[in-house]
Amino acid sequence: MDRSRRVALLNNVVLAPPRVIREMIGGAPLSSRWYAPTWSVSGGVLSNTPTLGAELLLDPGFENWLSATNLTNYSEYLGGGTTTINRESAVIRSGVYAARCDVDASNNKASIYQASGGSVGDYALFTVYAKESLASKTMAFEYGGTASPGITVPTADFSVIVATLRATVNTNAAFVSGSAASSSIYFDDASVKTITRSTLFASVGKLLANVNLVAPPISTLQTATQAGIILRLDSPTNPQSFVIAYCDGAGNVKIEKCVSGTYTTLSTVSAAYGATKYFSAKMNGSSISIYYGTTDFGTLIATVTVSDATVVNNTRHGLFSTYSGNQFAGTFSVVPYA
Amino acid sequence: MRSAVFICEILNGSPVLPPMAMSADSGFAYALGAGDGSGWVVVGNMPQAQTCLVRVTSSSATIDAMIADARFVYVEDV
Repeated sequence: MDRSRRVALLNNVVLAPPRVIREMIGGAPLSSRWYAPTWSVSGGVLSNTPTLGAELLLDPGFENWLSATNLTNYSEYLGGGTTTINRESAVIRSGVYAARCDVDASNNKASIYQASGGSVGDYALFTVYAKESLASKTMAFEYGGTASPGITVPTADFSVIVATLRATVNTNAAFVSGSAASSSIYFDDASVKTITRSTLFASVGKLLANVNLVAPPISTLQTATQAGIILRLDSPTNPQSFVIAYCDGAGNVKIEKCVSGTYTTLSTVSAAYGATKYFSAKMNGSSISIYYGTTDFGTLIATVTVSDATVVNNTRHGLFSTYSGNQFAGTFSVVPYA
Repeated sequence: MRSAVFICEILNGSPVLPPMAMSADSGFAYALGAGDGSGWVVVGNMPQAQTCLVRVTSSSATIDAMIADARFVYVEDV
């Protein structure tokens, strides 16, 4: 072999982009191959603290009332019966007032909502300090057509309740009584902030489009928040086209595609979250199979078809998390499809 | 568990289907169920008609309820 041929081969070996990755997640900071500016390792686990926008709510403390039963800056929905929404001045967390929903024996719903300044397709972090008069009662959040699961509200004192939701129809942000018959639920000091989309993901580029991917287990998942994997991401800094598969924080695994900024849900399957369960995926052309279980490619959730030109050839893959309390620990590997 | 294919409407980027768990606002009197493996997956698109083919996996009673529901066109059991 002549020298020029040897040099060409050597250059190819040295300069060709690596097409595989196998990395232990949680034991050390992510390697330099990742684009993950908001992700960090601490205590042996990897977590993401997405960047948040400004407060979207007007009067997040429920301080401004037109009357004893009508908030100034929020609309109200009452499901009927004798359920009411009221100004509360005795049981408060801060300021002068809180909002109190008195739910009747038939569990007719009470909802306090406001047209927020977010955008359809954006995720938002919802928080509210809540307190219940009776044990084992729940509340929920709603964001433009998407509802959180019922979240149990403590009785002892105001506690922060959290959810992340993606607006699908409009950007109405709602605080809603859940399963709360014959009880009072108190809301104070709420917040709704848009999550910057590019900070939802940690990804590795210059892989292949057709791959077998194994993600680390989601060792902790906060109820009503989402975590999983991202596949075939077009741009880490301006994500517009990709596929995500994730635990939705309500007992399901969802598979969705985002094409030029518009999300479509491709599958929803009931699958209990488990601290040792993990996602794996096989992608070949337009066929994407998603697995979630305790073995590689063991428990098939669904096989979906994604043939959109802005997605199908992308070679960047990684992890997805909407909330800082969600944690990953274990092996992340991507190898050519087999 | 039983699986069947239906044609159903797409609205706001998602097939209009019964929820996994009961919700007072869903407009459905039944849910697909919370048992592991129940759910749905899009198996074909008909974008001109804003509809899609969906394979639904749930209890036999729920599949029968969907067959009786005018919002869905039953195709076949699979």
